[in-house]
Amino acid sequence: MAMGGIGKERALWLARQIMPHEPALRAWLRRRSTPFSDADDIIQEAYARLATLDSVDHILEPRAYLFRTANSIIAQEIRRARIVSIESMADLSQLVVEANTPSPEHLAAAREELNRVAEVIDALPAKCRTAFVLRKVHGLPQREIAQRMGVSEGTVEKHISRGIQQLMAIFARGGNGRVPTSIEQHSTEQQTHDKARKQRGH
Amino acid sequence: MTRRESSADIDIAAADWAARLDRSMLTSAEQGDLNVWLAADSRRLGALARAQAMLVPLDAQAQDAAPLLAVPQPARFSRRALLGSGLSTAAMAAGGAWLFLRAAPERFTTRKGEVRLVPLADGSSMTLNTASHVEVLFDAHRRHVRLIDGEALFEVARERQRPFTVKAGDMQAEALGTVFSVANIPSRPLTVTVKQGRVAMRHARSTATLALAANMQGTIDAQGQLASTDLAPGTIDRDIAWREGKIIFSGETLRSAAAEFARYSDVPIAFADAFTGNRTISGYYSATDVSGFVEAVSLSLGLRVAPRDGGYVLSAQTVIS
Repeated sequence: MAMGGIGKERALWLARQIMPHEPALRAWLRRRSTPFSDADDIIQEAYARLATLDSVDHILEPRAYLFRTANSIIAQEIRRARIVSIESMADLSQLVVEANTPSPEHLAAAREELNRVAEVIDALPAKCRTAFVLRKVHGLPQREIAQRMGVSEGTVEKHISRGIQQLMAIFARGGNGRVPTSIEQHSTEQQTHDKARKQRGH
Repeated sequence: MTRRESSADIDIAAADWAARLDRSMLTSAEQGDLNVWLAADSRRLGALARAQAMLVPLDAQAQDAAPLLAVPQPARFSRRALLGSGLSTAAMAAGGAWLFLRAAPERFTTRKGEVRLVPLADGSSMTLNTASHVEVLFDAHRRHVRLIDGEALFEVARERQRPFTVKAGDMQAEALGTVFSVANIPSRPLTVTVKQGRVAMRHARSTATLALAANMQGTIDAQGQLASTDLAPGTIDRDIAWREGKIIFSGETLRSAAAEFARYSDVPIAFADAFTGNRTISGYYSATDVSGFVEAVSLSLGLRVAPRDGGYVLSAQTVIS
């Protein structure tokens, strides 16, 4: 990986070609029984693989590629665990079908996701929202945002981080209308969520 | 059993790193911290990539679908800040779409045998060697050049706020005020040669960085291995003699000299026997003057020259006594 995180081009590719398909993949991952990792873990692993590919020029169908990547992560976990349940195998073959059927519902879902992104940003605290919109929508560098808002670059960085966190959370948790408005609240919720997950035996 | 870190906790740390990376270049200490953080769990790199993708500007099409974000609400800006911002009201009224008219990279190419000096907007200059192809993209906080193939020498104007980066294949080199060349030539390792200043060279997929100072050369082989060598003074001038349309050899085999000429010219040089191809030569030649080179070496090494396929074939002279 390049010094300084992933390159701009790869970030752009992920944002344009992969993120729109994330809700569909997540929905599928949640519907199935995942014996080891949950949907969020698998999606993080999938992004890690996509971030470290030499090149993405050969990927003509990013949606199918994303699903296949998730598929191979699950397959690897199953192989490592040496437990092959019939359901797991059935799910793996079903994935291929899912990946190849982009439908009007999927397009509508992607559009809905975008509106949800807009809502999340709009619900950020005022200064955080201003900073995040200038960055995400208008593409201004953080330094310039700091000058414009008359705050330190460190403050802008915190605003940007908060904006990213809210977007990541809303994607990750399916965004069923409930938008957390502060990081503290989000963390508490997440811990509760984790506990619940652990109690379910994961 | 230790508790596995939750993906949500990873996301929070990843968002902090993405925001930090988006702000400015990391210090080496921060880079070290990031590497340590990333190395501990494979999910973290994925979370970071996803966090960085969250910051990618919405495209114009997406803007239409999300009218809520198309125009920042002016009430949320102080009037003074807005007036001083250089954002025209007309542009604001246009829905912010102008911001997505990202500058297309400027392309420069040279034909075989051509050497071209290209002055760049920031006062830097770039000299393209034979059969090269580059894209140049400068914006408010970055000066970026992609060497798609060929070789180029960069004389970089110092601008502390805008690093100058050159990407070639899987290699990225970053510099401030420097003179360095980059070669991306098929079947040779990617090479960075530094004449003045310092260049940070790295592989796109690894965190290893090679710091190159003046008179150093760094290479990346097909396996992604980085290596650096110190060059004897004067070697660099020899290596970048192409700038003046010259090739300088010192003890290379005729075979490798012929390969070098093939970069500049379509006139082929062949060898009738292995012995001739392994003879070595030194000297200063015009890169595009194949016949001059052939004439000079045949005289100095006592070789026989015959025409073949629009070029030349060299062989050991038969001794007639």
